[in-house]
Amino acid sequence: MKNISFYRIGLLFKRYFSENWKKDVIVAAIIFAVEMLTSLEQEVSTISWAVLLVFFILYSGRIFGMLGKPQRAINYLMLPASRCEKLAVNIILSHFYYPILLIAASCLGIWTSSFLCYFIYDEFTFKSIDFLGNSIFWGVEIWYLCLFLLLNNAVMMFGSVYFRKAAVIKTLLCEFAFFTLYATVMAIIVFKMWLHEAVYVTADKITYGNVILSVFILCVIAFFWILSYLRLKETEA
Amino acid sequence: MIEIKEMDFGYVPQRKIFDNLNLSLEAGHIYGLLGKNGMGKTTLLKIISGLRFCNRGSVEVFGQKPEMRKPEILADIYFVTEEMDVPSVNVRDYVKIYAPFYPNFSETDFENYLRQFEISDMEQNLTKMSHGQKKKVLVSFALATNTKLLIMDEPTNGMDIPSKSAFRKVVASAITDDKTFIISTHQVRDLQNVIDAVLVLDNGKILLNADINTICDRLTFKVLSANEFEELSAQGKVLYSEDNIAGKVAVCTHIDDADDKFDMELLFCAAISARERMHEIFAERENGKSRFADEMETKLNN
Repeated sequence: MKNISFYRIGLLFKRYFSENWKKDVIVAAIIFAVEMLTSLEQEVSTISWAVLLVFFILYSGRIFGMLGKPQRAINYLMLPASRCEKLAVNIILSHFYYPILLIAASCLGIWTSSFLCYFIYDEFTFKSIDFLGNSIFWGVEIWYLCLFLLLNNAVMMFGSVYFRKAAVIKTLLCEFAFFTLYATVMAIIVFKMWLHEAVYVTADKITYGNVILSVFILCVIAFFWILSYLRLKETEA
Repeated sequence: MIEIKEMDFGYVPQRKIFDNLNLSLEAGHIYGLLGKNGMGKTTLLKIISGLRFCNRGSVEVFGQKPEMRKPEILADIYFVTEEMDVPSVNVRDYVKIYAPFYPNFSETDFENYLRQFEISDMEQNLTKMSHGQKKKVLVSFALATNTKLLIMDEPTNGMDIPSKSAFRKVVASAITDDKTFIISTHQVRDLQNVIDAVLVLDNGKILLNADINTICDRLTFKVLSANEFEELSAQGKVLYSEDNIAGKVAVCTHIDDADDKFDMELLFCAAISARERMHEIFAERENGKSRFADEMETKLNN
């Protein structure tokens, strides 16, 4: 039997959706309704990233939540699938499926409000979505936004494997402590570079700085995936 | 099938639950795992299924380390836990979701077992079922997976009397030469007629690992009159006894032509109270020397 089998990955997805589709539909419906109602008065709408971020944190921070409860942990760990398969399914769910689901629900909510306006105000204007508010540099900034979401989800997922109880809160505290330290160090470095006019990380175009930063963030994301795998390997029920 | 050698385990290093534990289990048996509370029965089951990792020694299931949790091993092990956590789906969907993970799962067997447990509504949500009903569904599912190793922790807890009888029937019908069932229980009388080998766990050691035939060959379970009791006690043949209306029920070393009836609860009490005698009686003879004698020799040398 191979360590990675698409058949078993499919079964793990089937298991997830069979058991959780109702919860996901409810969350998507709430996001849809909120975005639809808050967009009624606006011509150009911005996705409520702060709200979505809270949902992403809660979701990714509990993606391995079953390990915190002994019976669920036993059921999950005893499922005939490899650790790679279990991790891959949870990475796809937390990093791609859930963000796409909620962003799609937000967009649909905003666009549906166009039709709602037609019935309320008797005028139809198709509402456009400004993904980043008043941002000028749409392309590069949306890339960094995606990287930030992926990084955040990777850290939260690792926290959910690492901590048995109150994983979300503990991970957020660790994240806060780490980024405070990191931001302080980076601020000092950037300030010193700026003094020597060596800063070339700008958000308006693709530069070497942007590429290096992107690769670095992707490496950190992969690092947390590997850490999650190692932790899952040594998890006991 | 299962080989545990010189295994140490403790949740904290200072307090060992298992100290140099050795155990060998063969296919084709239904093992009853008996032990007092807190002796590590569930922990041992978890170690065998790869859910806990031993601190020292080796554990092998089908010749592989269970803690690797490889899919091919997991597809051949099923663990029915004492407490259950079931998803909010009906019985039919539960089978659709989980059965494909087990290549030897038989839907016909599953339906047959459910029938014997008198569960007919496949559309009922598992979370809405009583504890006993959930257990019956999960036991039926576990048996229908046809895994080579089936581990059940207190499977009859929460079952009513007819269900316990049905449990014995389905378990007895499901065992084959290539399968091993390990059933951990306190309710020894519920399972007396279905278990064909007994494991007694006490203070981190296996006190007894023998099949029922061997036990009946070497021990006698008998109701004794006061005179018989005194006579056998004087000969040093009584290992354990309890007062009874008819006299004393006792576990004795084998008595020829005795009309006896195997009693697992008495056996357990005898194993706990007369551990060295029991060890001597059941010690395997290898090259003319018993394992017990080897251990005693090692202790003396140390």
